[in-house]
Amino acid sequence: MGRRLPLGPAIERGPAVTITVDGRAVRAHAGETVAAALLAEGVLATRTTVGGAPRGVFCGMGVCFDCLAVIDGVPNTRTCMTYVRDGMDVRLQDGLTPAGS
Amino acid sequence: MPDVETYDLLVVGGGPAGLAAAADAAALGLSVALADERATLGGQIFKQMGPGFEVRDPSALGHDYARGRALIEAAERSAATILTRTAVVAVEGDRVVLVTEGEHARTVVARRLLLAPGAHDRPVAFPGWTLPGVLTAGAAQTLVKAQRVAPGERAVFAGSGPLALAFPAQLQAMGVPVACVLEAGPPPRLGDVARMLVAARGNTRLLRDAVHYRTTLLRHRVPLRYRRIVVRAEGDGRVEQVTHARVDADWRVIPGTEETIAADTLCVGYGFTPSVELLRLVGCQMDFDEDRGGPVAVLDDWQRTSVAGVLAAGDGTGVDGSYVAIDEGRLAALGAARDLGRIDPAAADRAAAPIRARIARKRRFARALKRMHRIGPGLFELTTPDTVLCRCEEVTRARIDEAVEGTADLSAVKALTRAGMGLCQGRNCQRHVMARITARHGVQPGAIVPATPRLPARPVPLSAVAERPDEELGLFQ
Repeated sequence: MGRRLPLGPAIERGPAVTITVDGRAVRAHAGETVAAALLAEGVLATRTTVGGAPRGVFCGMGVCFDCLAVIDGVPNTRTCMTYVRDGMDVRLQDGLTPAGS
Repeated sequence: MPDVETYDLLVVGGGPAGLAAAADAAALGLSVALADERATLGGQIFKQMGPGFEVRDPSALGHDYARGRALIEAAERSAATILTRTAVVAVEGDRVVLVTEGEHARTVVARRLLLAPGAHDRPVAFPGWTLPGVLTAGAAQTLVKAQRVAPGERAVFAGSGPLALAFPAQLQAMGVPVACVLEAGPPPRLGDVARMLVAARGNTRLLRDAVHYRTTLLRHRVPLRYRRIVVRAEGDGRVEQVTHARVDADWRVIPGTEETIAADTLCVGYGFTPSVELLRLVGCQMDFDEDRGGPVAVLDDWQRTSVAGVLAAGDGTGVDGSYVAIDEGRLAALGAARDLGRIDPAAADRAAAPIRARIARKRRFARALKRMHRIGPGLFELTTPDTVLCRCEEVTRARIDEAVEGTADLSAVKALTRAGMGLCQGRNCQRHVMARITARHGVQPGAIVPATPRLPARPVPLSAVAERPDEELGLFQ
């Protein structure tokens, strides 16, 4: 299970925001990537491949295109390169279409 | 083309090399733009916390954080135009197509182009490497340092080199329990340490750091296992256990030495490889040097590539670390100014001399370190026939081997199997396909012609280019 690490006095997280993940409200902080917010929520796989295999963050720097999700309606969006925004709609991705659609 | 933005120098990449180059070139009077795909500058090594985090006490974040901030602030203070969230998707002559997130593509003219794309983790394939919970060291480091999120509760680190000591110690110190560290190489020998100290010429920071990291691991009773490599990760939909084995001097697994350990996170860090897609796209002459990450750029004394008007600097041209990258960026700025007649050649030579001396010294040190932690060929032999080599297109090793049976041509293997045709454009699988070609046909990686890069260099939503005339963008020719 992923989780937020204690920060100490040197750093503070950004203001709380709420995103929805497959319709469920999830709290996150400004400055967090969607990938990090999902991991902190225990969501490891952001999508399944066309072949049905679960995938999540691998390279974490926009190179591998594995941590894709549908963000605000845009499929194949890299969650590791996208920062959360209040009201953002995140849908885990099934192949090349949003999961469950 | 009316009102095309024109720059003396367009720098691609906001890591150490690009930042140093942009600030110096602007100071030399060049009109400069710096483009980086990310929202924040610094590149991977100086990756900044996400925009929203507040750093109250920068001194608590250490030496490298301060180095990164200094570079970023110098570039931001300079007259250079900083374009974040902006990717280069095509280059043709002096015209460069940029796409800024959520906006239309636009073409700019760059009298000189400096490619400073940086490096990414060397991809290492093994059974289970696609399972969620398997992360590169870079990914884990970003999550922990720039996001302050732990990827899991019990991590195994598999890798080699200074990072294999530093990174698990950092993870553990930040509150992520590390179950075990696997270093594929042997324990450091006295002779190696002596050679390093000679090459470092009194710079003992590295040795001090190494001792500090080792002490951290010892204090937390994290076992550090030398000459052991990851052989597979297993679990139901995510990593649950990791199996590792002893290796010989070539990093080949010694049968009967397997051990399995429970873990929910596997960090893989066997060094870095240059991100060369833009260099290849513009047609720069390349070389191959596994010690510097694999594909490396052929450069002259002023960081100029074989393509007129295109310079390159930093780890994206061959991995030598951030100190060399910064100086290469500085040298490239001088080179561009000199080419454009903005600095007297004699003055450029005088300014370049101490930079070149520093690069030579640091490079000797970096290479001594690389030799000490040389990658063994066994690293590319960890797969089984049903291991997926191309993560994007889900192509197994068996399918690649079938194609390789009939050809030693990488592009042909790509066409036959789709390996390398997915969104990552072969960044993860190409080296592994090469390894299969080497194994079957005996052709060394340096002699294998890489697959031709395709436009766009990054996936672009059609909406970004749909309303623009094709000929202006040069994307669909």
